[in-house]
Parts: sequence; C-alpha cells; structure tokens
Amino acid sequence: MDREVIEKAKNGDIKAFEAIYATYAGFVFNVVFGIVQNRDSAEDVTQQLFIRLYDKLRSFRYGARLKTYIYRMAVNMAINEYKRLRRQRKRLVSMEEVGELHRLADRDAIQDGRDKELAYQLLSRLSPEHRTVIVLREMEGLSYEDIASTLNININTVRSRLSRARQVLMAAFREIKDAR
Amino acid sequence: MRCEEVRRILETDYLDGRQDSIERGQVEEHLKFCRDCRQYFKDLESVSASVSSLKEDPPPFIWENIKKDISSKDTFNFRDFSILWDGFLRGLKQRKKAVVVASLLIFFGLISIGVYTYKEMRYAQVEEYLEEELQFLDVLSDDESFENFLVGEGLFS
Repeated sequence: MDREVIEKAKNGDIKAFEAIYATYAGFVFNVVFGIVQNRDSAEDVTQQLFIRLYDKLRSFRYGARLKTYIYRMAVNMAINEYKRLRRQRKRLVSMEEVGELHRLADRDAIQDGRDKELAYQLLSRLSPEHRTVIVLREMEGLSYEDIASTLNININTVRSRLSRARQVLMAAFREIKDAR
Repeated sequence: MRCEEVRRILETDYLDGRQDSIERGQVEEHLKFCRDCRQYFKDLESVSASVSSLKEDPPPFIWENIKKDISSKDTFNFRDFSILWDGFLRGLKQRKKAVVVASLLIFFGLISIGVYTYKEMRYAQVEEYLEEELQFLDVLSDDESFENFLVGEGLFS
C-alpha cells in the first residue's frame, strides 16, 4: 500500500481510505467467513474492523506494516466472533450433522473441488486455531512467513498446524470417499 | 524415504511449493513407486482446491455502511474528539507515575512552606523580645524613667 495513500487516509481523506478498503476488504471478509462460517457475522465484523481502523489510522506508525496490522485485527476479531457464536450455539454445522456429508458427497464434485458446501463442512471439523492457518494459506495464499507474522508464531509452528489441519481434512474427506 | 515422512512433507512444503530441489527430487522419486502416497497427494490437492474455491468478494453494501458511519463522524469532528480521547486515555495510563510525582511535589512543597512559616514566626518572636529588651535598656539609662519604672513595679514608693 502506497505510503501517500495511507497518509491521506490518516488525514481523513475518505477516497484514500476507500482504496485501503478495496485492497484489504476481500482478505478480511474471507478470513472471517472461513473461521466463523456465518455470513452475517462476516459482514458485520468486516464493517466493524474498517470503522475501527479509520479511527485508529491517525495514530498508526509506519514502523508497523499496515498489512500485518489489518491481518492481525481480522484474525483476532474473527476468533472473538467465533467464540461468541459458539456460546450462542449458532454454528452452521454441528457434529450431529456430519451425516449430511454423505448426502452432499458427489465423486465428481469432490475431485473437481467445486462443492463449496462440502468444503465449509470440512472446515467445520477444524479447531479455530487450525481453521485459521488453513484459511490464511488456502484461501488467501499467504506465505508461511506472512502467516507466522500475522499470528505471531514461528514458521515451524505454522508448518505443524498446517500439517495437522490437513490431516483432519483428509480424514473427513476420505471418510466420505470410503462411504461411497 | 518412508511413507509417513513423505506424507508430512506432502502436507506442507511440497503442496505449498517451498521445497528445495534436492528434497523435492527425493519426494518425487518416492511418489514414482508408491501408489498410496500418489493418491494421498491427489486427494490433498482436491481438498486444497476445494477450500481455495470458497474465496469471494464482500457484498458492496458493506462499504456503503462504512462510508456512512465515518462521514457522520467527520461531520461532528468525531475523529478529532476520538484523537483527544485517545490521548487522554494514554495520559491516564501514566497516572500512577503522575500521582506519585505530584504527591512528592506537594509533600515537599508543604514541608518547605511549613519550615519557612516556622522560621518567620521565630524571627518575629525574637525581634519582639529584642525590642522589649532595648526599651528596658533605654529605661535603665535614664534616671527619671528608671525611678518611674520602680514605682510602677511597686519596688519604690
């Protein structure tokens, strides 16, 4: 992100802030949606994040990268929202609904990777911690270094979480294949 | 390489394109001859592609809501107020230090005032005493005044 754009946004230029929004909104929305798996929450959290960012931007120091700052806000707010919804029992998929996986499974859809609903339900098998690294890596294409920086963990921890998360996904995926 | 070791690499660096050429060569050599690991990697790619396909654009109304909110705040100089408020809160975080410093300043200030006041009071008392003594010496040096003094004190009739 151009430093001049950030400077203008810091001074209240809404057009400049819109450029920042256009750059990062997709990331924020998809990270929140991937972790929380609730569309209304993803929309609300995305909105809240950027409203909060607009206020915080004045005191933003260039020593910290804006990208990392936004990434961290997105992950933290997503996890908080996930915990809030879990307390309210509004998760899209519970373990009792796992049986639905078989109804949704279609060999071609699995192999083409196009069955979005199946993908969401596979994600629901993951803990928030594992879901976060999968969403950051698979949906947003972040490097291991960027994931480590965003989550404030080291690269080996990124690697082990990805490995474990993919093992869980693969176990669920193969459960469906074997059931057919 | 054993299958378990290969699968750990497939799940991470190999799938994410992070391997150096030597390790990559070793994995690919294993995959040439191991059907199970080949299938495992194929399934990994399917799951990965499936998750990647979930990506979408946020709905346009989100930006409209944000713009409405920040525009209304700017109209009332809310940002300036929030900046002042943030500054005030940051100042409050220093309050412990400020309270201690202020307390020490007040304490030593009061001590100083007390000492000064006491000294002034003592000077006034000493001055008054000396004044009286000087007056008495004046009396002693004058015969008529001394006689009147003795009569006044009942020492001479």
